[in-house]
Amino acid sequence: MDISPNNLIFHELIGLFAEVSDSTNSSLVGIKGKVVDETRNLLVIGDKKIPKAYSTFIFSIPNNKVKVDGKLLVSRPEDRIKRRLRGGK
Amino acid sequence: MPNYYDLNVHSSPECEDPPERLISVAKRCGYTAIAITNHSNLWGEVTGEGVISGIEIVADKISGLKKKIEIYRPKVDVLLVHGGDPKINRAAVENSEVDILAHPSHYFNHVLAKFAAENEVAIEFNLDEIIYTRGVPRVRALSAFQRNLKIARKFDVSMTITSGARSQYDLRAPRELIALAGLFGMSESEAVGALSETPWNIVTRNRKKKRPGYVMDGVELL
Repeated sequence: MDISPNNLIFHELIGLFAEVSDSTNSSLVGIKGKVVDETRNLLVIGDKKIPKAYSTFIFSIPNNKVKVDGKLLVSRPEDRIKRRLRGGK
Repeated sequence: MPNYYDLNVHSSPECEDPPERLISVAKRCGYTAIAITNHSNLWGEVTGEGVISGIEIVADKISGLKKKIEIYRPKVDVLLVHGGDPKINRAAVENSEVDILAHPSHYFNHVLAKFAAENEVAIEFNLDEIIYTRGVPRVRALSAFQRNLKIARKFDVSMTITSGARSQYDLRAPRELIALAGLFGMSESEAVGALSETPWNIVTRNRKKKRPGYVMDGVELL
């Protein structure tokens, strides 16, 4: 399925361009680059590991920029994608 | 002093008094804002200072209810469902688009309460029922309130108190409603919350959803 703002949080994130717009750790704010890996609690942008739960990300998808609260992404990527099938809950 | 909101007031064309009159009376009573919630067959958009746009959806079938919710949801800040029928009550609490289930009367139970808590549907205590009835119907209304309150507390369902006013003379000041709520066992802090915090949370939640760029909670278009 094509990526859109509605399904972004249930979508594969690796390969997207992302920026950390807010974080409780101020030294992480402003980091940008390609998402190269993802674990349950971390998003690896370039060579930096960013904790999802305490950050807000801006993802660039075709035609749009979407701001996402990282708390919504906390889940193992393979489980996160499956959530869509159950109505997003 | 908290800000008070009354989320169930009917105005013209359904009743005699125009919205402006009701608002000025409500301001004098001590409300910050009131929601004009005419029944869906007589609905018209009301805007202005001190007004929350609202609707009370009346439907006799579940399919009709769903259709009306779809039509009116983008237009209003507060969406009530005219309850009182077991099937409609059930359909209302199962729908997360609904804000308040108005006067569920006797047909509210633990099953509905679980759904209501899950979908963030508040239940209404419409004090109109105890103000306007006498004798047996009043006793019935009070006992239904008492039971609903017990269930709502157990399942942590949010509660709202409204006057259900149909004319300017039906509006009651917040302190009076809080005192009346004591009749069926609601504590003062609960009653204050039901008139101030809960209604405001509902309105802010819905206004947030109407902002341009809103996709879902925590996701925003830039």
